[in-house]
Amino acid sequence: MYPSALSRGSRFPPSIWLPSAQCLPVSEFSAMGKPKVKPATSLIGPLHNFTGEEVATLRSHLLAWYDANHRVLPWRTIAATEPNPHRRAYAVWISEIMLQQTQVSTVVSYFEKWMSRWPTVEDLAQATLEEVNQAWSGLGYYSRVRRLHEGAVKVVEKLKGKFPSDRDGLVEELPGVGQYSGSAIASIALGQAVGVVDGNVNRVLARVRGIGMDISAPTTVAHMWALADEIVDAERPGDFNQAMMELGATVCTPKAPKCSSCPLRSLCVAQQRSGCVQQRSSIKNHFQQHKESAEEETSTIPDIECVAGCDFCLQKEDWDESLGVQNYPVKGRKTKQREETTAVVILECEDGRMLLVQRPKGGLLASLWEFPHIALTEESEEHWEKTVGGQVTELFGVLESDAASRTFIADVTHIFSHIRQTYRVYKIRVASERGVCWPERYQGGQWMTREQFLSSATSTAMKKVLKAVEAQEGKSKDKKSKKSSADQPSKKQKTISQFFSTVAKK
Amino acid sequence: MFEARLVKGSLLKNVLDAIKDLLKQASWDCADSGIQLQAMDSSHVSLVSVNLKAEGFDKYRCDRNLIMGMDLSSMSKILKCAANDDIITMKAQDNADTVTFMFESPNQEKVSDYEMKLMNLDQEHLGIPETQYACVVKMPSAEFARICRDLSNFGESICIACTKEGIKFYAAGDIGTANIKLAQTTSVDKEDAVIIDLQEPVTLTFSCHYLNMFIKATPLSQQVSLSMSPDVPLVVEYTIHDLGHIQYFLAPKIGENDS
Repeated sequence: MYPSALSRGSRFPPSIWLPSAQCLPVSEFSAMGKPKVKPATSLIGPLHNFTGEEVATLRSHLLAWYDANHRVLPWRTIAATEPNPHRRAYAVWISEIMLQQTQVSTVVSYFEKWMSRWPTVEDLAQATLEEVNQAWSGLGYYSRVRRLHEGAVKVVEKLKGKFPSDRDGLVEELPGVGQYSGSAIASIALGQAVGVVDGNVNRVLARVRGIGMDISAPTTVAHMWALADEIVDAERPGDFNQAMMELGATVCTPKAPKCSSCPLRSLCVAQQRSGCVQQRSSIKNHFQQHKESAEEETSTIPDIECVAGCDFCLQKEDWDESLGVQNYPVKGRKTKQREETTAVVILECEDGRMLLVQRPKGGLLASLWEFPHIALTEESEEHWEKTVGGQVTELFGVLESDAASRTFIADVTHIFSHIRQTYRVYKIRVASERGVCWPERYQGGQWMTREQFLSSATSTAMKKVLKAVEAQEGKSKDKKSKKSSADQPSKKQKTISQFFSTVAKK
Repeated sequence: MFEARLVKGSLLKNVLDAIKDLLKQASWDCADSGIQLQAMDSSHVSLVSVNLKAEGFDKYRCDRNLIMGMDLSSMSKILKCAANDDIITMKAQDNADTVTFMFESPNQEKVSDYEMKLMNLDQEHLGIPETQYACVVKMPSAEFARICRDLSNFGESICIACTKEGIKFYAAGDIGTANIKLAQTTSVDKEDAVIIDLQEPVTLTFSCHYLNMFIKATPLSQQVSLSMSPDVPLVVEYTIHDLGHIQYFLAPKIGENDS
């Protein structure tokens, strides 16, 4: 959803900031203190910018549409009703960070839980990292929550509980807040008239302005931000930005966009370009000749190729008629997902508790609890079994006799955004927890019951692993774990065992 | 030694059709008084209870109590081999690990034997409390089946509201809403009538998925009875003429019984 979110964590890389001469004066960025590189200029025709008149139409149409159609979301309510700007900024900040790479529907419940637990930035600053990690558990991209916490501490200690008052200040002071989040918080919570560009806005702008250049190219990115800053409504910047994003999320969708209900239809270059193709093949052409000829004169189809040599136009040979509006935006080639296989070993002692180890403080899934992992580096699968056996003895101090009794449970796949991870899950029952140790890179280890595991900070992948184990045990007629396996009914659906209790069979 | 002979073998075929989609496997408890089966579906939302009385069989013998765990899809495959007018006999030795199904054609000219392996199932047995239900509705089973099928086109759940005047079924979804009202009838013909025995009005919501499984029992009986009380499972009961009954218990969905 937000293609640039990954890089946002480390602030936007300087390479993005290669503004083309036409669209952005370099001086605009001097305040950000980022290195300036003289860009390779590309030619951007007038079609890809808005005229003053168009901007006015766009604002009024879009805001009218938003007022009629917007979703009611808890952070929007806070942004609209909370009088204290710092409280507004806090709520919007939390929501924006949660929304990075995560769907709105998932975020709502997490957000509400979070706000009732830590209603102000001071409350959050006092929480421990473990607590916030746990509240985040399941949302993914755990570095986000670490930076949130870091930022809260900083706001309270360094800035005396006051959030910076504009985009640049937010980007400067809050870790994990980059151009996108900074703009969103500044416009939604603080009313600063700055534009926001995320994946949705990119798509809307690319279609409305017929931008046929790869949207991840530096010149395109810079142009998008310039457009967003230009069109944002000065009176209602927060609503305007949310309207753009919401339009992208609900109407101007990647596939099957609902053009017929789009408020920006009259301005949309992509619509006109695909529209004239449709008009040509329409049955109407055969029946309503007399009427159409009159219409034709009034409807002005703009030049699709605006200026000779314009770099931002989609070339005729790249236009796929069957795709219509979906020709935009143009995406560069994706980097292939890496495939990785790791063995995961469930060490269970005789009373049923399992060994969990806490990951190091930095890197992927930092500080989360997981079952012991064993890297499977060899190419050939035949050696994997041997590696697992050897490594549990070597790294985790499991007795060789126990290690040999391991059972293979299942392969569990989990897709991180850049890695397709396969976990080969093994289970070993150890006779005694004594002697079991873990490598130093882990922060610690603990024997946990199933309930402890579920209530501590763990990743979704590990929960999947546990599910696989329980499903397996359910099959081998362990009747207790059966209940929690496989097809769990939804929350709303009660189960029959809530009403009837088990009786001993005669 | 266990032996149960049913001249109207199609009844057993129908019983199996009524449970095999809901339950993968189940134990048949055979005792002197008859055969019983109780099991939950895999998600534990519904419970099936089958009771076949010893007197209902044309010959019934059970020297020792016996629990026969069966894979119901396998059992169904075997019963599919029986013709509708066949006489079916189930047989098992004490402590045996197989059960034999014998099918005889009415004129005794064709006899087939199928032996099936039994399974050792460790299933929970639930105690069902005696409940005085707030309302009990008897209605034609075909009508109920039709309503469940029709309404499941609209949404995932069906809301059932019962008042003195009648019973109302309601579903809502993307395409719109559906509302079916059945008034209490005064019809003389007992099987076609809608009879409501009401202590207090009840409104509950249930998952269509399970209701659609229950209505597979429709061929067993012309009439179905629905028993409901607030916040307890619905009971859908089909009587099997002269042989026993099949009951389905379905846990309600919570937070959805508005309107």
